[in-house]
Amino acid sequence: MPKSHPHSSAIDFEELFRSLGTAYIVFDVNDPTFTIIEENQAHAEIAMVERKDVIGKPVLEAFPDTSEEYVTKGKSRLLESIRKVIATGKPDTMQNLSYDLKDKKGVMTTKFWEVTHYPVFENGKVKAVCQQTKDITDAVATRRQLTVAQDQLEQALAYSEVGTWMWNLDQDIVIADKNLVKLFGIGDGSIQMEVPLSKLLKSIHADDAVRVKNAITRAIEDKTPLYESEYRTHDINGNIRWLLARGHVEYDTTGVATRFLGLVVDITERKMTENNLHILAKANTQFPASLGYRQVLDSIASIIVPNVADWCSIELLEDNKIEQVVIAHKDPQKVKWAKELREKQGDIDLDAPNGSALVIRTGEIEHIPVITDEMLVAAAKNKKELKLLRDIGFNSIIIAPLKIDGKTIGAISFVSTDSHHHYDENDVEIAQALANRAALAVYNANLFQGANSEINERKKLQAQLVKLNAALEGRVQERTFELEKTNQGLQAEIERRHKLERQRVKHYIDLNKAKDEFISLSSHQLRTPATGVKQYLGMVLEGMAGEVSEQQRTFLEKAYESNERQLTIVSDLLKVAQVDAGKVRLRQEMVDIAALVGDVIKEQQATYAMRKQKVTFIKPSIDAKAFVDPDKMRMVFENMIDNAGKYSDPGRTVKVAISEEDDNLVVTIKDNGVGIAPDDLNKLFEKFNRIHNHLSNYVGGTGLGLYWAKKVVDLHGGIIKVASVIDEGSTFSVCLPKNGVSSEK
Amino acid sequence: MKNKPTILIVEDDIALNEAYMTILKTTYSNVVTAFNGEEALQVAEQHNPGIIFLDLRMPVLDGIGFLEKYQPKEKHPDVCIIVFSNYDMQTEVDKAYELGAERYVLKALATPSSLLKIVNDLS
Repeated sequence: MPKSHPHSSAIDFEELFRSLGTAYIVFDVNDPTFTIIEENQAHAEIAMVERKDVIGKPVLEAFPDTSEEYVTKGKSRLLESIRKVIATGKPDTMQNLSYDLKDKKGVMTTKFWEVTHYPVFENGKVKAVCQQTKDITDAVATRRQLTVAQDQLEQALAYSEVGTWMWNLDQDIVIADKNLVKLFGIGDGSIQMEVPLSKLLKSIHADDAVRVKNAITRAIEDKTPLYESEYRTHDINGNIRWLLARGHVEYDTTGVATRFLGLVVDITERKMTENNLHILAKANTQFPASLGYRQVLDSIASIIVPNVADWCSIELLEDNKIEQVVIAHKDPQKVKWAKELREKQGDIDLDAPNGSALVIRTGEIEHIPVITDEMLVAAAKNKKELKLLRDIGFNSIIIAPLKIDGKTIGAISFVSTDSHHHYDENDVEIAQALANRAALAVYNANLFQGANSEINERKKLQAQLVKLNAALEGRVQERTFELEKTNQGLQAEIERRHKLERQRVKHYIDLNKAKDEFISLSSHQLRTPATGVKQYLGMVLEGMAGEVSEQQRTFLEKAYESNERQLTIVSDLLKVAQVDAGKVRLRQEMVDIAALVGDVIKEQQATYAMRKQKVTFIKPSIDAKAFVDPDKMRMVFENMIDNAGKYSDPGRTVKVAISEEDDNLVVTIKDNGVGIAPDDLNKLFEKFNRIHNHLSNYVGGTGLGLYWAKKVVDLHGGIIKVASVIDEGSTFSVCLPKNGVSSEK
Repeated sequence: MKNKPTILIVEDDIALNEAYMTILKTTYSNVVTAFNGEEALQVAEQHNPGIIFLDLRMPVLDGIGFLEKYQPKEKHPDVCIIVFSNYDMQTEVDKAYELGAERYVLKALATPSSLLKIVNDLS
């Protein structure tokens, strides 16, 4: 800037420039070193110089360029910027210009400036360059601190296994940080990822997925202040991780959810510890000392599967042989398969280079976190076995030794397959703890057995004593031997006869059964043709085939009646067969016996009238109800009332009455019929027995009706009785317990 | 029940099958027959009977087998099934009722007029 400035106003521009709040410094462009021709107070302050000390000095002399670029290559960015302004006539800004400056006390400090060079024109040419300078040292420091803080936060997050997510609902993009990427197994965790929500949900354990989805939906819909959910994921290594997720949903002014953000914390260890404590507690309660060790090992296996392993097998060393005592899997089919496989493969070789044999030999726990295919190839004896091993789908394995007093007596194998869990140090710890408990169980059982064998030893001694005694008694026995021999012969004969007797009884029972079946089957077969006859005769008699003459009708009716008799016989046979086979079941209900008997009598009035007989029934004044099968009792009364008429001469009267005796109802049917001889009374209720008298030829019967009636009354817990005087008549009475339970039996 | 239901007779005995058809045809025009349970399923499918007279003992598929497949309770609640059999073992009868049969008639007891009366009462 020129020293004398032509001005027309009263303002002293030179003074104004010097006192401006913004820092300015002006360089002479005619000079290649860009001598400083003016500097205002503000600039002098941020540059920590006196104005007089810098004016007239080349710029790099007043403010030395300490940048590496200038020191090594002689290239000054500042000079380049000034030259650019001269060449283009346009302002140029340099951000983050760094200077090492001495403050007033002579201490070197690093300052950061942001400078803009403006051209100063005269006659269209750049005459000078004016620099506007902003001290951004503090801002740079703050920014740097922020970066450090961010780095620290990121590191802290990385160490603490905390992942963060931000889900933009409108685009369905979840920004997942590196940790979250790792915990959800969607990447190696080297970079943050942007994925749709569905991709993250896929990583969630199948058993938890629905619950998590519901929780997310609820959080959005219910506007809950804090979303919280615990679930499992499969991480990048395929391990199951327990995560605790916390977050909240953000809404726009209209209440629509826009973002859902939060973090997840890895709580696997806590969950595992909880689970392990739980399992150990369970294991402790399940081992009462009284149980045999096999039972105890079974219980241990049932705790291990499926809580700790998909497969569990327990092997014990017995007489230098490894015996598989327990094999467990949640699927019983698989257990069966494994047992068969073990039987096929035979005993486990104690000298085997791996597996439980190795653990039993060394007493060292074996832990393979990840089982690779190469391992399977190495372990398989042949192709068939390799296929088998691959099919099982081994993931991870722990084999823990069972030790008593430092001696290895067996091993427990924990195998992870379907659950895709990879065993870690925690699992090893729990496996060893369970193994120790199992060993203790076997130890206790051995103690018990030891005690047992001592008892056995004593028993043996006792047996020897007995033997000695026996030898002494031998001579005595010799003398009685022959006597016994004779006895034995007799005994054998008795037994032989018993056997024959038993065979005969069995044969009889079989025959009886065959007879029942024959009757039942043939009765049905007999019924069908007779039913056909009945239908066709019926059609003709009912006029379906045109008119029939009087004589034809008479004959047809006789044929019909004969056929009916055949059907009745078959029915009787069948009923008896059923009752004999015990196949009759009662359908009991409270039945008004008076009404039932009244019905039967009403139905038979016509038949009685045809025989010119009467049947009377005096309705009882009592409440004549009993707990019976109405259908079957109806048949009983039908049979008895019909019999009373059939075995009485024309003109007689049958009297039916009901009375009460204690808890029983008694139905009596009194006729003035032919009567029954005392000798025949006993035969009356027998099968196929018909009493002969002058009416029996007219009465078509099978001799089964009363037999069946008695059986049915018996089933009801009742009694059927008869009293009779020849030529005077008979009185039949049926006694039924009212409440269905016999009071007399 | 509708006024003119189709009646299905399921009976393996040829003479009886014919007899029942002849009797029912005197009054009802829509009578169809089948000789076993399997055939009955097909005929029922085609003709949608309103009343079925069902024998129990039959070859190929017996009456109980027919009821199990036909499922009167679940699939044909409007169809009236009358077990029409000479087989009166109680267990079988119970089973038939359980499977949805509405009535049980001993064939040996039914006369032509009683057969017509059963149908008439249902119509």
